[in-house]
Amino acid sequence: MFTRNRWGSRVEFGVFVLPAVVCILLSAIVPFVMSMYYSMTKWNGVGKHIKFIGLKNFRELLTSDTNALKALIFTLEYTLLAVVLTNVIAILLAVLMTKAFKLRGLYRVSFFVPYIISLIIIGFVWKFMFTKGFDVLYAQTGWSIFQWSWLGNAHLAFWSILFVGIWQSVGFYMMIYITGLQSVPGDLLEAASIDGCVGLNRFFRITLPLLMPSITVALFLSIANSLKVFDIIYTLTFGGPGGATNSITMDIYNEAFVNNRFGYATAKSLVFVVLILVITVIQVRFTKSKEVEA
Amino acid sequence: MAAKKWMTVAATAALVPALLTACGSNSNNSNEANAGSNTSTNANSGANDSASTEPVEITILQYAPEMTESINKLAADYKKEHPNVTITATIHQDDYPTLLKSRINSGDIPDIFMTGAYNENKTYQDYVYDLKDEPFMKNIVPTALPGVTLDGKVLGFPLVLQSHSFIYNKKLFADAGITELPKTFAELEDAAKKLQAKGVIPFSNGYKEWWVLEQTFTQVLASMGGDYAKTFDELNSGDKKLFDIPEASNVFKLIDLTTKYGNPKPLETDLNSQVALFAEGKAAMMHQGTWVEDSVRKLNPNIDMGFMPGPVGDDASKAGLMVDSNIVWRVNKDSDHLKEVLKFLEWMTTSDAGKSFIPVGTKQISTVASAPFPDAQLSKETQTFLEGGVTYPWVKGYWPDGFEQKAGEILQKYIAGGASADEAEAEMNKTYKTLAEAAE
Repeated sequence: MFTRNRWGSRVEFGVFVLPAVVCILLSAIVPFVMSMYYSMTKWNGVGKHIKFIGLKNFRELLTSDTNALKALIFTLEYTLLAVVLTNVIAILLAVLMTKAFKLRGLYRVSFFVPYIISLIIIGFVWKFMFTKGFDVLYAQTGWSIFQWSWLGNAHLAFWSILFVGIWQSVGFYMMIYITGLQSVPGDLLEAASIDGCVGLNRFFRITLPLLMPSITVALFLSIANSLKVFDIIYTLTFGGPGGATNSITMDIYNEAFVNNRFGYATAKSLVFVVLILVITVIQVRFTKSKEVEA
Repeated sequence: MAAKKWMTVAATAALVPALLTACGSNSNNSNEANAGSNTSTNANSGANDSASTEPVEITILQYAPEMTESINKLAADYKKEHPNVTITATIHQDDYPTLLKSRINSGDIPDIFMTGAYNENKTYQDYVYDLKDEPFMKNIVPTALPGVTLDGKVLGFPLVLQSHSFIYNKKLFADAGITELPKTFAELEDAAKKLQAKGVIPFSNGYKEWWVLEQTFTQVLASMGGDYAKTFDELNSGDKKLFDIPEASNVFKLIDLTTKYGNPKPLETDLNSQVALFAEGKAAMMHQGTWVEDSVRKLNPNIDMGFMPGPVGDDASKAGLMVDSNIVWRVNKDSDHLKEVLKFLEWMTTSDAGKSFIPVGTKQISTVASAPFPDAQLSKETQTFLEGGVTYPWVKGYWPDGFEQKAGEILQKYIAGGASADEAEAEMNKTYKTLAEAAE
């Protein structure tokens, strides 16, 4: 009787998860396994001749591809700055937005709105701002900062992309931190105040450690999203000027659809997957270990 | 109880296929412009084409959104004469190669699809019907044929002849007292100085677009003349480097000249801004092609402009115009309606409606020899060059896949100050080699 029941529930469980499993298999696992094969081939993406070349693609990537290395450095720099700045600004905003003041809801919404707009549209809007908008501002104010070539200069273009990236996503992380802050128990904060721990001291010693679960999530998401940055660069600079803002994702895209080297691009993306995996696993482990119970 | 449970199981099982279809069928229904399908009222319009009456649908997948309206008209015209044939065109601009490749890989190949010429012959050769023995190909002008020929096979139907070089504003040139068009770098600088003295920006540079730089570069490169196929064979096999071609290095002098006398922030200026500067009369020259005629006219209907033979060095006799056909319709060799497709292409080269598709509908030059001529100034100037001037093919067609964009990007880097001329040459040589090896 007991075993029959267990089998029954197993079948039931299996039947319920089956649709999801089949969907994931077809749309994620099978293509992933296929791409492992393609990464060891020389293939232009459409032709019928797929030539198996073993690990040659990986050897080329790891030994002689300076473009990929540059793209990796750019992506890491971008990720580091974007993650730190996004999260610091998001926490500051969240702290501000949980204070009681007039029109608080309106401010929260206005910070969140960029996140729900398509990245492509944001890219085009900011491209317009950086070129046409800044021209008008320069004519009005005469400040030379508006005359700089924000998208045409290799160094400035990096900061332009970083700025738009942060501006777009900060509202989302702010929301995560707001919910985190709201779940910090009031009695703990009150007790700390009574013990004489107030202001910044209280924030760093009480609030921040209790916020750690939110930080884990926000860091995880912002690291993964920054490493995968694509749309903004695609619309703002298309990797330019002169490849100065070429991220890994842009590099893979160009390799596959511009250079028609599908096999090689697949090899690159596999290496990239491993890289993201390693970085995020390390991050999650590290921040998890810092979490405390209230 | 047990029966009830089994009902649940059965119901769930029945849901699985439904879910799967939902997973897999949300691809190609975006951005479709269904041409012709709106004219599916099979009212007998008097045409008595009794040969084949089976309803047939010919599908076309292409980019070039400027053709949208004229392709609708084309489909309607064809339907008038062949009531059983419906032409459905899907025009997809953004990310077109990705879409085409996924359609081909999933086996859902349109009857006709658009690609570039030259090296794309090789990319798509496994799927394309050889038009070599089709009689209607004799109606195509010879200039357009090298671009679709691969190993003696004719792998496409070239649609449009396009040309590019420096476009100049005739009025601004006259105002500045430039009577003779500059044909060398020295003369070009002289003209630029005269224009600048008049308060006009000499060059409108759209260097945000990598292809503008690629076109500036290929014009300089094409001036080497000789047997291009042979030269590029040597390059592709690695016997020779790109900058072993002495003319190639001239591109840096030309870029220096245009940026010195050009608009501020050239690397931020995209096609639209470049065209606007020129059309509004703020700048006197720009490196562009026949395709901008429409956008220039929209901003300034009365502008008097023309093509300048592009200076490529110190030899005035080598300044010329880059003319080629780089927009190709390819026929799917496994199409179910191959016969109908070929009949349609024949109609494109023989009927008045078919022949006027490109020149009247898109104001560009048709590749069909007997087609009418477009009412557009840049196209007319192109015709003058074809009749008695210096013209070059777009040599980029011999380049390996991807080098077009890479060359433009490396030149952008040079303009941004990220690489000296020597470094840019070295990087282009290296990139060319890598891509040529990958294409073998």
